[in-house]
Amino acid sequence: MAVSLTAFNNLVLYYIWRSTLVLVLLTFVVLFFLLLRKGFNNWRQIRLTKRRQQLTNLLLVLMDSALLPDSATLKMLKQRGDDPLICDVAAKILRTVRGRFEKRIIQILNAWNILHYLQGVLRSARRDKRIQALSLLAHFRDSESLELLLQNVNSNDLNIQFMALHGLAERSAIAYLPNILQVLIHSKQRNTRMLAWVLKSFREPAVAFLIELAKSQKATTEVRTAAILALMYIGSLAAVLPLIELADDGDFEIRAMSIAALSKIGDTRAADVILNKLQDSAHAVRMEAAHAAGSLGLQTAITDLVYLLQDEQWWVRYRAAEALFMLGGRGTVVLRGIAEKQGLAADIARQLLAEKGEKI
Amino acid sequence: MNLTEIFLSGLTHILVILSWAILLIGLLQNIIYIIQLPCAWLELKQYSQFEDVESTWQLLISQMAIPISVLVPAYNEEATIVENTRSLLALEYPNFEVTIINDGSSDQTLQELITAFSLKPISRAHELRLQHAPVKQLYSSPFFPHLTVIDKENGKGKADAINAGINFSRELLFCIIDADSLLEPQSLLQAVRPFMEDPKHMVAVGGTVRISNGCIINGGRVRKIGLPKKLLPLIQYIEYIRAFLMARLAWSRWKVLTIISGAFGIFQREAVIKVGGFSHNTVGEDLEIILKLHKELRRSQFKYAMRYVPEPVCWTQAPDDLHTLGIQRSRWQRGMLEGFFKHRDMLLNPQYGRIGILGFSHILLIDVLGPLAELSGLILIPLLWIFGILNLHFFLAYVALFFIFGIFISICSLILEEIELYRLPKVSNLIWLAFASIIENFGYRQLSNFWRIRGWWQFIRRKTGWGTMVRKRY
Repeated sequence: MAVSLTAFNNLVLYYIWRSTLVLVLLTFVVLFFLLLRKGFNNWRQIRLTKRRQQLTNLLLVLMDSALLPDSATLKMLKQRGDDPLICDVAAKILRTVRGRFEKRIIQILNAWNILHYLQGVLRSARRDKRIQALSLLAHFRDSESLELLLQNVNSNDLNIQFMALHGLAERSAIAYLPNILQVLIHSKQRNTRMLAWVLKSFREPAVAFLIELAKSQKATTEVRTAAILALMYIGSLAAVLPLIELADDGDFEIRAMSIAALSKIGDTRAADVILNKLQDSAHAVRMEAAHAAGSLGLQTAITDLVYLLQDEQWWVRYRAAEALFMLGGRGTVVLRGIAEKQGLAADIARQLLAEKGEKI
Repeated sequence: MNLTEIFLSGLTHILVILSWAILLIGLLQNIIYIIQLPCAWLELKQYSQFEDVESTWQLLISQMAIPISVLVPAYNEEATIVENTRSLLALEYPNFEVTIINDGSSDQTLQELITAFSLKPISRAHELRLQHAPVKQLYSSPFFPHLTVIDKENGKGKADAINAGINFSRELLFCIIDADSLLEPQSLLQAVRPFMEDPKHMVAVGGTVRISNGCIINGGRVRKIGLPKKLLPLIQYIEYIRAFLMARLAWSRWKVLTIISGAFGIFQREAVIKVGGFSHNTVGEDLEIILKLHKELRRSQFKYAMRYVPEPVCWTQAPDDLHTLGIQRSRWQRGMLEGFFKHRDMLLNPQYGRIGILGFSHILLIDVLGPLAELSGLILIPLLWIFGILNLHFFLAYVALFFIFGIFISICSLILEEIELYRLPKVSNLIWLAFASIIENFGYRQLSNFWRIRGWWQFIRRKTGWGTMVRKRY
């Protein structure tokens, strides 16, 4: 009892199986070429690995030798197609060396005209290669390479921008901080932690710039937070008063980070603002303030800290209990007393004392 | 026309309509795959961390990576737990702690850990925000300050152990790893990057799971990548490449990721706590948590993101016998059905945006209806062709959609792997996998569908429990 299919149905069915077969056939053709490519690449890889080892040995020997061969001799040591390998090898070595060794490697790279190659990479290569190129440029000392770093600070790719900033920080390009400030104010960079790490690499001379960035209302919260975090890591006393000011910012993340920074810098001028922030409306700020009160040894905070042991947020309660424990003396006595009672405060006090190995 | 003829004619028409429905399901499935392929490739090109060793290095030395609690639920893992814990402690990551959760093992898992790491009882303040079976004792090691062991009563499932781990963890992020899996040293560094780049919105990131059978493993690390020697794990190898490199990458690009493998995923702690943690009443807790996150975060109109990152690799043992593999696949199917039906209100619901429309339709088509359509087609269509009810074109179209197209997808995934990740060292590896791509469609695929139908049956009968998986020492 055959069911007759329309001509259209038959055509559809015909095209389904025919096109599937064609697709499979095509993928096998592609796979065949990939197999050939893999075979060739594997064969080439053996040569490249050997050459890479030779270049590594060469750079290590030249780096440590008393005298560097003249430019012509150096050029003779380089072969055609060596540039990517040299960049790989140099990038790896430069991760672990500084001072005269770093200078020597850059001298060799200059003799081999690697800067020219890096320019090409930054123009058109894949992102990972561009990132590597920027990391290498961080070690050069000429204005041409500096210019390349500056150009890439404006990149839309935030990873590229980050690496260019890192390069400028490594080169202590303080003179360009106003330009960088403008870029960062308009940046969409969200990687707060890595940005902070880069910014702190500019060290003490960048404090004024970082304060300006932290205070900027045009910059995103992430960028401003990164500036405060960088100030925290630099630990400059010049940042204390601006940070106290920022502790009253309308953005709770800025307030919390400012309190954390003040706590880390450890200046007693921050005592009043920390006491004040124990009653902040944002729990992140109360938590940081409690921690700061403990680490700065603010005995005057005991009453407020006891109050925070009943906070609705567990982390605030924990930090308050921890702060009381850190205060020692009266703080610990108060904590022990609370631990014997019932309720939220008693529970966190008992848990904290048990964690610290104290018998209740 | 007598009654018998009327009945036969009616039956024939029903069967033919059913055959067309089966063919349509196959066609739709394959169209989805065809769309997924270029998307996966684009995603791979845009976000590839392959060879970006410099950024990974900067993240490592900066000490700025977001701290992570690595949670390892362990139930009767005495064979592998010590070596795997050692390998986790040796991960290249600046700020992390490893928390092993002994979920009431009946073997020597806890004792092995106590002896190997000289564990001592400790106390740690914590908030009981997620429910789980009672914790008996916490341990830490004086020699490995980043290691904590939670010994708890059995909670009848992995979810209970994970919830206990989340309660005791203190970091912003937590990572879940199966106790029998191995992470590559830089896996955490690579997987954490989406969180670093968008810390406020990123709630979950999944990495790739690959099969370790055939690899040379020493000291808890994969020293040399190799292919499984046995056929069954070899076929699973290509299955994993296809699932991770094609489907998840494409879904990640379209922001409709519906699963992050339970073997390796990183989550934002607060987001998971807000949705009530991992659900106890399912064996597919990895799919369910993602669906739950989508549901709750969409409802609260929170702008969130989830990503799949192909570079960080977690190596896992694949079952090399049919019995164990069958148990695993039936359980996966059951878990998927539990998640799907629990959140069925999301299907085609515009309130949940593309996850409701695209993500759920995809689950319905591929995972819910897929095995039913394939197996019924396997019986029905050849029979109808033999009896002359369907013509040769119909039969060939069926074979093309359900047998041959699978080869195309597998080979394309292999091509994607080869042009972007270069994980397989030898030409012969590719040839073997191409071979597996062909033969998996003739026998294995149908068997796999049978296991999935069994999963359906277990789901209907409300079966619970995980079944026994045999672990081998590396």
